Amino acid sequence: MGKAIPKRKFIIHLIIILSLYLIIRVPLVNKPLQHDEIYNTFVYLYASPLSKASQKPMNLERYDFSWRTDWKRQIAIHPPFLSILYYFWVRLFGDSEISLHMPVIIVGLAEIILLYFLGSIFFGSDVGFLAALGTSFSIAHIEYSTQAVYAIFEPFILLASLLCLYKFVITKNKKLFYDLLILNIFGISIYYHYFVYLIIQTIILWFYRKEFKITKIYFISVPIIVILFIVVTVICFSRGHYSYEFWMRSDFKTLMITIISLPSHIIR
Amino acid sequence: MIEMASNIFFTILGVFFFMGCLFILPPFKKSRDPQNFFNLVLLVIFVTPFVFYLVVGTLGFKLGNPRNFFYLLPIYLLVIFNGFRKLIYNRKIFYSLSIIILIFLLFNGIMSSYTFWKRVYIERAIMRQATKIDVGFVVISYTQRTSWPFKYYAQKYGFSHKSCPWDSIKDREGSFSFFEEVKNISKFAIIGDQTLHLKDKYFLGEKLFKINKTISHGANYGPFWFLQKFLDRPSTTISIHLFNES
Repeated sequence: MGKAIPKRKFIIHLIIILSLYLIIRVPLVNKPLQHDEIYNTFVYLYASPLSKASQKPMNLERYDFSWRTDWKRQIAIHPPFLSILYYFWVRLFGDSEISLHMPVIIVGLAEIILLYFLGSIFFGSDVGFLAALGTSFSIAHIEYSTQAVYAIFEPFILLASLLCLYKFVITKNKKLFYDLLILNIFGISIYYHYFVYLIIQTIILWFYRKEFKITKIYFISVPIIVILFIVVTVICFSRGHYSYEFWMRSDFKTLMITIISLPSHIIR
Repeated sequence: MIEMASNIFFTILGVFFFMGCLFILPPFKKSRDPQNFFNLVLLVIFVTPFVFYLVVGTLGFKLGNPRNFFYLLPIYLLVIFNGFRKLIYNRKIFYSLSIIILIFLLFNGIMSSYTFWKRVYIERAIMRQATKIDVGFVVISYTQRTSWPFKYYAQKYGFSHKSCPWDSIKDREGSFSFFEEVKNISKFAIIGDQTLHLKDKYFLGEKLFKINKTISHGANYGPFWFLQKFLDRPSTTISIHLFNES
């Protein structure tokens, strides 16, 4: 377990992390929008379930679909949280590049601060600091934290949930357990990979169930939710919602190369 | 050369990653220690993609993009730097080497992405320029993988004339409804940068003139001003080809 960070060191680390993050991201706030960003925001803006029927989406020539015609496939890929968030965000702040990029830049910043805390607690402040800097220097992170897409929300909610889980296990404060439940609801509303983490979390909590006095309802409801998710995934798969032309072929060589180079694929 | 250096660099990072994984393996005897349980959680989380690829690959499905596991990036970096820290006890050497890794990580990313970034900035600038041309129809050099960004900016900049992306006509051997569209229009223009190579056979109209114009595309690399100064410029030369009705 990492030692408590001296206050001065903590402030210096935080200033360096925040400055470098913002120096790299802020100039990109006006970056032109790309395909996925426009689909995630603009199309939903004009064709979400909440919009009026008279509001029509762009004439999407090749892909003539909108939320109304495509919601099953869309929900199969991403939970609708971000679309709903952007629906209201765009109504408040408009759909300019700066407006669309602001939420992701802020969430990316919060994620890096969380990472610093988490890294410092578990591996010491040096490791936490350098991992946070590495994340803000990674081009994958730079791209996603300046793009109005789902990606940047995912590590943020994962780190927040991990931190909350850890504090709950340490302090046994029941309030943190409820915070964790709220984070879990956000997690599964943001991305489906979160279900993997939800299973791990539930197994951990099962071992501590007597100490923490966790009700049986939790241990019954989580497996039900996970089973429902698996059923929905199988149905979506059978309907071809996950079939993309650009997915890699799964021959043995590609598989091995992918697995060996997985960390570098994710970081670069 | 740059690609080779990049591959070597990421291979080294991969080695640190696997070493980091070994270092955080929990001592299972003290199973109720929160540190152990957390390490176990981390281990299970970051082996998820490996298990996913093994299962999906073995079952013979097409493989998803590794970027779908982007949410593991911060945890992977934690593991890498933890592995690195365990290897190098001297704090000064650890920091010095880590900073070199960070700088290389950043530069590798910038060098691999800036061409694409520049392209999207140029295309937006061309879209903006196209609004100023007084013609009935404008074809714009636009290369993004779908026409959505094109339509978005056409709507945003309030195109009063008809328009279409150059890519939608250039591969079609001259037979495209574009000619139908142009038929009743007295003047049309084609606008693009150096990547635009016009072939006369596509155009039935009489070419009036071609003008070259330097416009600012505003591509912004932020603190990497030197990149802009030595490798790139915030402006580009575009060509406007004006045609009359045939």
